[in-house]
Amino acid sequence: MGIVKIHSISKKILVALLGVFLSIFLFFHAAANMCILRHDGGVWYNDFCDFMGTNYLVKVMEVVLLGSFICHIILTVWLTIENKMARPQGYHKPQRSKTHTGSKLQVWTGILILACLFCHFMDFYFVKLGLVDGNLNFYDQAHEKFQITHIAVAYLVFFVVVWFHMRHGFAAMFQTLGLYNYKYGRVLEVLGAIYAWVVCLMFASVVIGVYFGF
Amino acid sequence: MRFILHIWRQENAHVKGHFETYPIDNISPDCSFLEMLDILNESLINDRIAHPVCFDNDCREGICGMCGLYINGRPHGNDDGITTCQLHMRKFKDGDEIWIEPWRAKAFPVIRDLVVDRSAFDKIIQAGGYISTTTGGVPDANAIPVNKHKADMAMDAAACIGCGACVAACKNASAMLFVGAKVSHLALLPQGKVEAMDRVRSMVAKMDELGFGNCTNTYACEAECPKLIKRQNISRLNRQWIGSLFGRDKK
Repeated sequence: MGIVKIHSISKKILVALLGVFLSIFLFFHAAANMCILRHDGGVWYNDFCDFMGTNYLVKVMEVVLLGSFICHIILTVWLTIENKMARPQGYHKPQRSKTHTGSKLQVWTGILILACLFCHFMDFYFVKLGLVDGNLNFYDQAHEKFQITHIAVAYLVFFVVVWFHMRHGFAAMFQTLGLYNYKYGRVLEVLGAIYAWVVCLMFASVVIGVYFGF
Repeated sequence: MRFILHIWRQENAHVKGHFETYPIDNISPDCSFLEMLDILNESLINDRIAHPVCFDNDCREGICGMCGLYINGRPHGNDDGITTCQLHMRKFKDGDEIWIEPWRAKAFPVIRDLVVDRSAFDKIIQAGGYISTTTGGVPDANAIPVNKHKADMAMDAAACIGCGACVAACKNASAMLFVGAKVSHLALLPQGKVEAMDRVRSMVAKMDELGFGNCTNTYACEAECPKLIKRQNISRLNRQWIGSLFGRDKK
């Protein structure tokens, strides 16, 4: 860790900014997914998938997104290792201080998201890349997958985990970027929580809509 | 009142420590926690049972920041906005088992038993927690106008006594609340503003060098601070750090 010298706050700022970028991406992803709910036989959604698969700017952004995701993970792991090293010997009695649970769960929700994302990629993204066999008509595939109860439930659990991660992530981002103050701090936290709710409900509405045939 | 005390005993930083159990009886509910330890030490010395338990203390009125014990999972014990010396035995139930540990952090090595070396905080202050000014005549206190709201915030931040409870409470042993408070109380006032950018960079660099952890916004520090220092000071520290990336003071 001593090879590359980045100050603790700089690392946290980078994690926060990458988190913001990934959250913005999630909103667009969720908005695109909402096309699945249209009763047009997948015309809009498949057109969108075709655009995403062929546009050069999107391809560049795909690499940027993947890079951001990897950097977000590497920096978080780096910070976690440093944090563990800062207290070589722990306390005998478990901590009883009044703290934010989100922060304690953040690493675990992050690991869960990574695991869920791998399954999600196996269903869709790796199929697009030709790494896994599957139906390239993602509208049909979404209908096939989300009508299976355990897959639909697994995706809903995934969105709950994403919500937990985003909710704390937003509050922490405002603090890390120095935006949390006496006057607007609480308002910013609420706005972040609303954004996390909106994105996760958009994702969940697609799964629920397809499952119940809306 | 009677209690079962489990106290961390450690000869010095180089040997392994362990918990020793001491039953204690006839303790007044109005007795302070440190007075209770004094009574224990008296009996340990008189009965030649063991070496007295070493613990830091000085003013015993919540001002100096010397005392600091991790009691039953909380720095300074089970109450809000107090130091260990302000904790009273009436906060416990008769017959309670009390676990007493020193602050745990790489930057705060144990000197003996419950005493830790907190000179890491002094080193952070030495790195920039001051105003470089040549001495001279004392200026009129009202000569420089100061915004009332900012003066209040600076005073709130300056209340930090450097006890280290923030580091002890933080799951990452981060000193961000301490550094945030020290940076804030200077940067909010006109005299301290001049060197604000260099100060924040030097103090954060020293904090990292000394092996404190990173803040992950758990806010245990805010919950356990005996002087109720707010997390807004950490936010201000981050804000100042970002500002310092785009320009530095010329010395």
